Amino acid sequence: MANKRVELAVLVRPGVSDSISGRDTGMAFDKRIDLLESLEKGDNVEIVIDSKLVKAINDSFIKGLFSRVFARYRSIDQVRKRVKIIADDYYVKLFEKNWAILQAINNV
Amino acid sequence: MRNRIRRSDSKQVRQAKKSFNERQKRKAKLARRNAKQPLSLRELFEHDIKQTDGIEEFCKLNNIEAWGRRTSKYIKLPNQCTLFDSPDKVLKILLHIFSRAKFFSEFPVIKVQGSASFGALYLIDNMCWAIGTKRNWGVTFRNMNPEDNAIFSKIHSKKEDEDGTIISDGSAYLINERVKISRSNDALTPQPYSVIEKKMTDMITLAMKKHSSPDFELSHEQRQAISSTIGESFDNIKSHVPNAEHGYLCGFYDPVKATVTILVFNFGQTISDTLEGKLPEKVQVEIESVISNHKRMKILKPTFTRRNALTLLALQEGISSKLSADNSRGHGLIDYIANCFSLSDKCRISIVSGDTFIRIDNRYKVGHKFFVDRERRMLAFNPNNDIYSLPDSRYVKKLGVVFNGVIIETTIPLCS
Repeated sequence: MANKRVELAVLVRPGVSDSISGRDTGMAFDKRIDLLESLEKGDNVEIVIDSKLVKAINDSFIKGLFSRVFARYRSIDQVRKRVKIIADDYYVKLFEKNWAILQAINNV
Repeated sequence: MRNRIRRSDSKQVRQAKKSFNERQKRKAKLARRNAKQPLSLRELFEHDIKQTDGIEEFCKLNNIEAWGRRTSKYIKLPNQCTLFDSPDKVLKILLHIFSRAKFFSEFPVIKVQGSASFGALYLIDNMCWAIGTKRNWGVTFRNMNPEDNAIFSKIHSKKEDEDGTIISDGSAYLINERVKISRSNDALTPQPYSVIEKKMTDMITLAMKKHSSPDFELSHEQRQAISSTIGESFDNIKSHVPNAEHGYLCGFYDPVKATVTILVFNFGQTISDTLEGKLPEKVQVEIESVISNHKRMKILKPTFTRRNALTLLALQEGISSKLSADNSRGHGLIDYIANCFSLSDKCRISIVSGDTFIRIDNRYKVGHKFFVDRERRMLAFNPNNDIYSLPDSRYVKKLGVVFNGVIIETTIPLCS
């Protein structure tokens, strides 16, 4: 079991862009960092958001990023055991809000 | 280079020179067309120059022949003619402009009555942008008040007024861009709209520091509302309109009202087009159940059609033509609406697609209702927030004009 640290700031270009959006971007980033695969291996994942560089994250990006994860784990509690958001309270709540929606979708 | 025909030339020489001159004329015309120079109106008619596919389709859908044959060069832009209050009027003005582009050589004169609306004028201007690539074109604005002059300084197609009034470039806080949609195989390739978004938020921050407080910074919630407005709109264009190469984005910050207005539009499929017969079975069954209920209760009528009902359904949480591939789709529009109204209940949103108009303010709020198989965020525009009941016709209505694409205008107050 290892810790994997993922910096979302890699998705912005300082001085050029400072927001992260797009469902497809979220899904592509999930595959780029092997998020689900890492969690299934037993790794703990830290998603780090530097507010000085990342000024906004769209809900669609978060849903794209965690779509496969919630299809597999289905509950926020299971995801929280494995994924930690290292960021301002605002972003932590933003991720939790979208996780709640993904949980509802995957538990009908 | 013409070969001059003289009286002293013999018949053979005259014929040869005439033939040479005709050949040169044809070559010049071809060269001009290839150089993509705007052609004269005569040439336009002779060669049946088409506007962009989107504009041609818009004209065709609305039978522009019936709109076009006016004798007056003046087009009235009434006071407060906004998308929010008068979407039909704004779209009809567009059609009048296109008809003038097709049938008249003179530039139109828009007579502004009272205060001009940002959204209406920039919509007009961006459409005219496209006309200007095909023919010599400009639009004159008459009677624009001094306060509006600076705001509309970045109109691309403005011309000096006939009476010599120059609409001067002011220090208005505006962004007006045609934005490319990147469809790279690598979905992590940055999208151009994210660059425009930063330009806009930097512009707003600068303006607020100047007019409000030197320490001003956009809060997380304000950034989220602006980013959501732009990002979700362009994400929808990318996902649902595969042939769209561009979207159009206009952003305006009003320092007096401390509001930002963002207009995003594109040509292509309408919102209801995306829902016709492409949903997973259980969702399709529920959608048809809503439509059948509407028919049974005589809710469907000339002023609220099946297409209007489908457009309203597409707004609801988790309703999307992409659900078969990913069951977490269909949240973009409701997320963006929720983000705006969680920031301020004084936001105003106008959505035009096909012949459907949806207006959103704080009268009807997003609520949670059971639909299909779970609780979802719903916005049904009636007192019970019931998607099976008729929506308020002031908020969801059938337009008299059809727009082949999607227009979304959002006004977000930045001060409480």
